[in-house]
Amino acid sequence: MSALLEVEGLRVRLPTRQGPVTVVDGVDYEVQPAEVFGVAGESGSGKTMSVLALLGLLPPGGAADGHARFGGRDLLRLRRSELRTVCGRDIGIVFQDPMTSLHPMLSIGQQLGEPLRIHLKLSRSAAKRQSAELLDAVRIPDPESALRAFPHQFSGGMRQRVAIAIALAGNPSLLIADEPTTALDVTVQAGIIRLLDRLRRERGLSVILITHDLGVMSSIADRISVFYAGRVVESADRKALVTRPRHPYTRALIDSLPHPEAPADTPLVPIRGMPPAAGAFPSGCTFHPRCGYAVASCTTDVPPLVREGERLLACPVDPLRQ
Amino acid sequence: MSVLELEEVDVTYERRDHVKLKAVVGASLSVDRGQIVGLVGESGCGKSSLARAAVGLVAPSAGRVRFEGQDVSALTRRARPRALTRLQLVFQNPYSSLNPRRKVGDQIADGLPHGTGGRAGRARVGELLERVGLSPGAAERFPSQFSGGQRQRIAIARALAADPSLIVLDEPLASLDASAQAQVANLLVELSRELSLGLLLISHDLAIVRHTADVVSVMYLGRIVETGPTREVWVAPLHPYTEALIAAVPRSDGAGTMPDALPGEVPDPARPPTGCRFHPRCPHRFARCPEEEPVLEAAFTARAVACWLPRDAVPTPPSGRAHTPGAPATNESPSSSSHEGVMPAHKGGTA
Repeated sequence: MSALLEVEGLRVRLPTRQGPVTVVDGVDYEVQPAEVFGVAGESGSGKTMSVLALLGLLPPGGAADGHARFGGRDLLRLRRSELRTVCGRDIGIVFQDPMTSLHPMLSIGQQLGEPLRIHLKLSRSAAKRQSAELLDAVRIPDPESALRAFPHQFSGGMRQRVAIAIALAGNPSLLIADEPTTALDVTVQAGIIRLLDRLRRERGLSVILITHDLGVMSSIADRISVFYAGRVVESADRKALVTRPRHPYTRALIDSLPHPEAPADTPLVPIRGMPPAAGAFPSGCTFHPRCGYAVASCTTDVPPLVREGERLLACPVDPLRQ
Repeated sequence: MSVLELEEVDVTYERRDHVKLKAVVGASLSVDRGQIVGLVGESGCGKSSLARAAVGLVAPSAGRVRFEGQDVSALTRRARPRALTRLQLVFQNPYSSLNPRRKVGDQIADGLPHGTGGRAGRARVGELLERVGLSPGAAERFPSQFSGGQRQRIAIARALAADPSLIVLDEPLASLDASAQAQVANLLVELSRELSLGLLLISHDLAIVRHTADVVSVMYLGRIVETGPTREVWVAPLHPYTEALIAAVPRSDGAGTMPDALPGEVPDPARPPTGCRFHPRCPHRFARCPEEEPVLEAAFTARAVACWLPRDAVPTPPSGRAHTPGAPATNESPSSSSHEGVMPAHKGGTA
């Protein structure tokens, strides 16, 4: 099966007052058709930048290089005007906070109709019909009247459904969801997770799910890449990664989570120290100052990401090998 | 003895259209010294209103709030009574609750009892910073130089400066990464045990409350619907709402189990449903539920639940629990019609 998206050697630099800093340092990943690909990591790990870079959505002054092959083209080589047709039509995006990603003064119908008329060149009436169908697809009750409503009339969960409907308007093959459930209640979060899963099954939609919540990841992602300080440290299919993590960082991340299925006296084990700030990434393996297994070479040698069967691992010490 | 006691507290707001909205209805709870009480519910359930009433930021419209045996009066323009400074509040967002232009040490020193200044004050600030796991040198820095988790520690240190016997924490973990969340959660448990501090921990996340709170109260649309020792409530929830909250928590075991969505949305608190407030979303509802509002009644030991379902059945863990209501259900299970948590034809959002 050929990949829908192949990212290779992605580097992202952002400007700061102290000069440009590298926030994504040579990242590879690929997304298969109808796959939910999870991008996990703490804030500042570069997980969001490594995806937004593909669509030219970096903050002003940000620069990306490397390759991102999608539909026979390299997204990182496209002109802005070409990228604009890809973004919205072939690739949809959903952000964390549906309160700020929807326009408060435009009706849902206006916001949903715009991509339909621009990307699919639909007429006003056809766009309206299509809009109602999209709202129905994301399970918004009474789509006809919802089209006339404004974002503030919806709850957070409903707003996120509307945002997903807008992202789906151009009939994309890839949906990028950046922390789509972080701002929502668990009960509502469960609904959004199920919605993404159904879209994947029914429409063959591929999803890049960016989240720090391994619990969410563990219910829906097919494969997960764990980011730390601008690099991928481990990548494997969901079950292997969550039940048999091999990188000390992945292990630590899992141990710090509350596990609903585990016994009550399972302690929460925080990772010691703090994730490094961009621009101050440690030498060698960026995780070594917080790692309980670090040896001398970890402080100097950058560990390569090595393939082992289905798993990619950037830890030559490999203390968790069984 | 309980350090904080809420008795039948109502919090009522008046909307711009003069409609009275009861955000909290008849809520009772108590917190002992050295005890962590979790208060859990979805957004809009009134848990933050209850927190504000508990510290005197809003005046309850009925019932009473007592702290160390004394009535908590609502905050006015006058100085807060000295005794009430031992009742502290920590807010959700440590990015907005700390002043970005003042040094961390100065902000913590604000909370110190009157007359603690100079060298003694600085020493105490250093101690408090160490107490929450930061270096005393942090006093000379500004909030922007710290991460979210560290800022929340600073906010906690500031609350500790007043030598409190109770701290109300409104979603202190919600804006933090997993690892920072674990650090702050563990810190709270430590502080509670070592300083014999009562904590009222408000959260929407039952999974983290399970690891921190000794006792938990679950709130739905202004009412406390279940309360009990955290461990028991988690293993065998008695209220269908609690059951739904637990089932919605994603399992992080890699098995790919989908969390269960709760159908429908929290109704408008100005027009709560008749009878049991949860009945329109309850998969186990039966004829009595829309008719009569259940009150909290003792169930087993030290637990109470506001639900009409008979309690003769021995509770089983949440996954395999089957209810057998005394009367036939009035409708087919609403959860079967939609697995994504949306109820058909509910809240259309008409302009």
